[in-house]
Amino acid sequence: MSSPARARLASLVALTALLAGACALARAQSPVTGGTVPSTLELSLGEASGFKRTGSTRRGNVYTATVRAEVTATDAPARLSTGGEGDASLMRSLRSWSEPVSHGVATVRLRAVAPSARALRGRSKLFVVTLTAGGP
Amino acid sequence: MRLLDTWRLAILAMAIGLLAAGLGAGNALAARGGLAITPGILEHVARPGGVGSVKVANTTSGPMTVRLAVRPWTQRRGGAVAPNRRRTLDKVRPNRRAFALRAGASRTVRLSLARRPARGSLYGAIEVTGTPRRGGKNVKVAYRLVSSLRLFPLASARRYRAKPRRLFEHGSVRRGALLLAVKNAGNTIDPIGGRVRISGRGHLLKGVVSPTTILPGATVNLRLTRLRGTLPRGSYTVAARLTQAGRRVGGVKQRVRLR
Repeated sequence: MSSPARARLASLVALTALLAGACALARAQSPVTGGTVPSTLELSLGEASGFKRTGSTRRGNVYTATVRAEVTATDAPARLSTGGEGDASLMRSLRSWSEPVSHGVATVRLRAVAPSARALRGRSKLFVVTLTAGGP
Repeated sequence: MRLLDTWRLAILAMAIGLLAAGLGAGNALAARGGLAITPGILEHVARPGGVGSVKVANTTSGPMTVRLAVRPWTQRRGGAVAPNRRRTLDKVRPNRRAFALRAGASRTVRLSLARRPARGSLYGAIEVTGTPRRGGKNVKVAYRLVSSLRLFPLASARRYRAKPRRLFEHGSVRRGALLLAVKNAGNTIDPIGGRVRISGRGHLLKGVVSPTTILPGATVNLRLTRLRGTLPRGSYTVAARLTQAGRRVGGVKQRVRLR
């Protein structure tokens, strides 16, 4: 291949790579500035950190784990709460949004009481993170 | 020399491209994914038959077990609303109550109303719980989404009515509030508000009662006014006019003793 042809090929490769990079960056970071979105409710959770001992009570040691939550709710108000399986009145409110929210972030703390870390590992407690939106 | 520079530029551009692409993927993976429900509020006329559908999507990278229940709301005297997790609305029947969702999959659940509600309207919570099949490191976290189901009465069957109950003082004249317990005796969820006039002992206080959503059949304490020492202790005449959807729906004129 002659030198001018190689130069043209190299320029083409450079241009393609730059365009691909720009497209990927635009997809990742460009915010939506307008338009209509369908009414939706979405809750995303990250990987939960392992339980760490954070204190103790008469019933045993207190272990705490954290998980990152991301909330999208087109209907306000939205409320993020946590608790085990059971009565809704026992739910602990974590964060509220009075306006529609897109990718709102909150850190959820999960708390468990067990005599030891080994006993905690043996248990299969299910934590439920609840997102309520829109109201009645 | 020029050719060498062009190749260097090409490699640099490729590196930038790869970095940018990686950044995009990193943002997408910032959250592990979750559970989504569309629409967030399902509205329909309360007529027997199909009342609409909701789409439940699993956006995580693992399979999930999904349960769906339609529950009645409960409302506290303070106005806070939560789904009643001990009961389900039998009149509203989803075509699937429990199902499995693969990673990235979605399913549409159709809801139907078995018979016309006695009040002519029905308001409930659509509760969708997603439990991942695989748990995390010692921690198993489930997702619960609570959206709203509003089955409105037919336009000709809409009833707007509020029943004032007890008028009482909460706290003291220095730091408190004058409250009126109001029952929504109609069949809509249009907020109930109004105007208040408090007179006596040479004082006159006029105010607006901020509109509050009260579920049909529920009773909520509406705050007529804050008490911050503006009125001295004594007996007063309280006249409140309640409005809903722009029409007068009830009222009260009563004497109350502030302490």
